[in-house]
Amino acid sequence: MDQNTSDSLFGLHVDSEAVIQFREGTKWARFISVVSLAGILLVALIVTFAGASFKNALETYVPSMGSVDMDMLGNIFVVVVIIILAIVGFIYILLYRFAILVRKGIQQRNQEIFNDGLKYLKYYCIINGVIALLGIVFSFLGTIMELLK
Amino acid sequence: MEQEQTSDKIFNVEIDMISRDHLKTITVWARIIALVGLINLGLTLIRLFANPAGTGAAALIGMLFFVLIYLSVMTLLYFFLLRFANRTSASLNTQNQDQFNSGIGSLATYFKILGIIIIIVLSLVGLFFMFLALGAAFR
Repeated sequence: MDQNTSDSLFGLHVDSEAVIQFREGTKWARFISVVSLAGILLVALIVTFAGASFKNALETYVPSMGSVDMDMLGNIFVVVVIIILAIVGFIYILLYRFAILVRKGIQQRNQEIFNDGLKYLKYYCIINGVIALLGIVFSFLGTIMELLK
Repeated sequence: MEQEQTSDKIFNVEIDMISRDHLKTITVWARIIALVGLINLGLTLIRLFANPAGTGAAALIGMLFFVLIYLSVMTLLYFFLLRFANRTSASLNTQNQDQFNSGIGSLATYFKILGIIIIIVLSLVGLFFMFLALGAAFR
């Protein structure tokens, strides 16, 4: 127990300078997540309600695909977009949780809440990192194709 | 003064084993995101020079202008993310409070730049719709 106290005295802690930086960071993180979630919701609504017009556009511009069920193709498009939006939305919910919990943890001086907030930032970074790694593969392929043209 | 600092340490949130573990993972992935992002920007530049759009000189200059702005802003963004990862990771090993604060400051700057980019994009979208509405009204 004594060792714990001395560890906290000599180890890293969230001092007044770090509090200012965390407050600034979480303020912007909350703004980014709220605006992005609102945007995602808007796009989801547009895609859901524009699904019918997408099917009509497919039928008009791709008449040769007569054998393909346009209704099904339109529905697949809507479902794929909704799934992508749900994944992106989930990422921003993680960012929002980080912002809210870290701020609350610092305000209430609650170690558990603060650690929970960092846990959400960890998940946010992991998912973004995996997406970035997948993206770079496609980017490499795209560049090679471009150079071979 | 010293007593005040000590009480500040006791009553404030500290970087315990759990938060240290979280921060270590965060810095590893933040470094990956920043480096992959920077490589991606390089690839974008290669693609652009490998196959420039076959339009007029004015359009090419205009495109280059926007690409340069995009590349500069994104490089700045990844620079701050990388600095956050490097400084915070180093401070976890050396227990250097100033380095830790500087790392968290870089994370705050990263989010700030991202937020400002969102504000600019939203303003441009708003302007686009405003001009669209004005164009429709005066047609």
